[in-house]
Amino acid sequence: MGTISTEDMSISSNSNSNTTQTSGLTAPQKTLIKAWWKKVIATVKVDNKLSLSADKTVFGLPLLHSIQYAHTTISYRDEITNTPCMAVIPTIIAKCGSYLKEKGLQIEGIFRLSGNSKRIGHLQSLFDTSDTQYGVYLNWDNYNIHDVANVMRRFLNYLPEPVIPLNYYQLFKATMETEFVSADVKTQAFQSLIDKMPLAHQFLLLYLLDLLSIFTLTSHLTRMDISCLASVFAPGILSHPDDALNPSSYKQSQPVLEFLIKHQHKFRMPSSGIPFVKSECMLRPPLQVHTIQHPLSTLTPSSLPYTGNDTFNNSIHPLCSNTAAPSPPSLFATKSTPVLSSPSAPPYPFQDTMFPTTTLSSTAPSPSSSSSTDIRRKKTLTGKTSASMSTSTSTSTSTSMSTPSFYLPNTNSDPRVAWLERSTRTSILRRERQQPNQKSSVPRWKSIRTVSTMERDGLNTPIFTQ
Amino acid sequence: MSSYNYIIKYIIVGDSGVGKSCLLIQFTDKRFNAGRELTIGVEFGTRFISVDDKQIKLQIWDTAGQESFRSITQSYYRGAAGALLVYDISRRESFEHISTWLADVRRHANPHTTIVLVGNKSDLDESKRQVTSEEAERFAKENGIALFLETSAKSASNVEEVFVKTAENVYEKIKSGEFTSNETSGIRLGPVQKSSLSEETQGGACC
Repeated sequence: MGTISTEDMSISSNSNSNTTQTSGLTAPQKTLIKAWWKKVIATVKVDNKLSLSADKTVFGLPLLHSIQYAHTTISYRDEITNTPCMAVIPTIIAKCGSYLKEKGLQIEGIFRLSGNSKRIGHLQSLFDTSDTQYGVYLNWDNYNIHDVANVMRRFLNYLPEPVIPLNYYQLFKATMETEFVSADVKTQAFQSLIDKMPLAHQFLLLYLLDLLSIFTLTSHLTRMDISCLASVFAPGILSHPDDALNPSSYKQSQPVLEFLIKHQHKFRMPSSGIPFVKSECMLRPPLQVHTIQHPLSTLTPSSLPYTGNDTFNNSIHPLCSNTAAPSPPSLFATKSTPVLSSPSAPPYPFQDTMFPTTTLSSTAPSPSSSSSTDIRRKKTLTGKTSASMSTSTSTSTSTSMSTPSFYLPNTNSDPRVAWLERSTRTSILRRERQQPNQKSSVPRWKSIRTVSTMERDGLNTPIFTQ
Repeated sequence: MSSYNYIIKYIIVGDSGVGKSCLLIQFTDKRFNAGRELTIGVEFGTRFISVDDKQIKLQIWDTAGQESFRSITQSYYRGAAGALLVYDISRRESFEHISTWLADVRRHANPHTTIVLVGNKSDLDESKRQVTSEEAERFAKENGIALFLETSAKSASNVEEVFVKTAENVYEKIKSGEFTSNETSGIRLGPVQKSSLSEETQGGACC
C-alpha cells in the first residue's frame, strides 16, 4: 500500500443534504449534478429501507453496522491498473484523519496526550448523530489537536470488534511469532489474512496503517516513535476482550502493529474494488455481527440503480475486457476472490455516483514502483494543500466521483509493488501543482476532483471540460 | 535490604504524558529519561524507605494514563494505601481531569487511602505554566486531599518528598489504627517483627 487518502465526504444517509451548492455552475451542469444526486438519493432510500431500526449512532456499534450510514468515501489508486478505486471508511476517521495529517504531524505527544475531556465528549456527541451528518461538516475551531486525536482513538476503542476482527486476533499474533524467511514473506502472510477480513475492516485497517506510517516520519518532532504509536493504537486495532485485563497481551499486540505500520507500503487495498460488486464480501467472516445484514448484500447487481454507460466504462479500463486474467498467487487466493462475471455488471452504488459526463483519459501515468511511494509520501508532508481544509471549511455537499472499478481483480504477482497511491484531493491538487508538465495525467486528476473542491479553489472553469 | 516492617502499596494515576513513570523511575532508580515509551497497562517499582525508624517497602504501581487502559488500571486501585494523582503544570487539561481521577480512586481504592496531589514538571519555565500552585493547593483543600506538592521528575525536585511524606501519612494512619494490615488496606507486615508489630497494630485498631 503506498498511500491512501482523501477525504471526499459523501453522506449516503442524509437526504437533507441534497442541496448541493452549485454556485458558479452553468445551468446544464446544475441539471447534471441534480440528476446525479438523485441517483445517490435513490441508493440512500434502499439503504434506509434495509438498515436496522436501531438508533443510528456510531460509538460502540459494530463497524459493519455504522459504516452503512456514517461513512466517507476515499479514493485510492490501483498501481497495477492505475485506476482510481473507492473505499468507504467511517466519517469520523476520515474527518479526524485528515485534520491530524494536516495539523498533527509536528505536535509533540500526538495521540498520547489527552485533550479536554469535556470537549472530547462534545466531539463524540457530534460524531455520534445523524443530526450533524456524523460530523462531516464539523468545524474544528473550538477544539485542539489532542481533542481530535482522542475522539478518533475513542471511536476505535469503543468498537465492539476491533479493527482487526476478533477471530483474526490469534492469527495475527501467531503470524507475528512465526519465523519467516524474510520480512516480505511475513508481509504476504499478513496480507493473506487481511484479504479475508470483512471489507470495511480492511479499508479501515489500511487507512489507519497509512495514517500511522505518515506519523512515523515525524517522530523526531512528535516524540512518538513507531512503538509508541503501536502501543497507543493496539487496544483499538488488535485486542481481544479475553485479554482485556492482561497488560502482557497488549505488549504482544504492539510488535504486530509495529510490523504492520513499518511494512504498510507493501500491503494492498482490496483488489481493485471488485469486492464492491460482490457485496457479500463486505460481510465476510464477521464474528459477532453475522446477523447484521449490510443493506447492499441483499441486492443483486441487476437491482442496483445503475444507469451508467457500460460502453463508456469499458472504454476506460484496458483491462476490463480481459476476462482471462491469471490467478492470483496462492498466498493471496482467499476463499472467494471474486471475479467479475460480466464486464458490464454494475459497480457498487457509490461508484454509481460517477459524474455522468466525466470523461477520463485512458492514458495512464507511468506505473510507480514501490520505492517512489516514500517519495510521494514525503511530498505529502510538504504539501500544504490539505484535504482537511476542505472538510472544515466546505459548506457544500461534496460528493466523490470516481471511475467505476471495472476490471478484474488485482493479479499482482509481486506483493512488494505498492499499488496504492495517495489519490486524495490533496495529492491530486499537489500533483497538478508540482508536475504541471505531466500533461497526460492532468485530465485524469481533474476528472476525479469534486464539485466542492472546484468551488473552494475558486476555479470557474467548467468542471467537465478536459 | 531484605528485612522490613511493612509493605505499603501505592498507585500513581493521572493523564497520559504527565510524567508518572518518570516520577517512579526518578524515585526508584534516580535517573531521568524523557524519551520513555508509554506505559502499557501497569508497571511496577519498589524501594525501601525508613519512617520513624521503621523499614518500609514501598510497592508502587505505575498505571497507564491512556483511556483505553482504564479498565486494566482500575483493577490495580484496590488495596492501595497511597495514591499519587499527577498532573502536568504546563497542561491545564491534565489538571482539570484530576477530579475524574480522584473520583476513580475514591470509588475503587480503600476509603482511608492517602491521596496526594502532585504537579509535575515544575522545572519548566514559568511562562509554560498553566496551573498555579495556589489553585492546586485550593483544589486539594476543597477535595480533602491530604498533601499537595510540585515536583520535577527531571531535576528530582520534591520527588523523594512526595513518596516519603505519603508514607509518613500512611504510617500515621497505621499507628492510629485507621489502617490495619490486610490485603484491602494496602498494608502488609514484613517478615521482621511480624508478630510484635502485628500485635501493635491490631491493638491500635481496637482502640
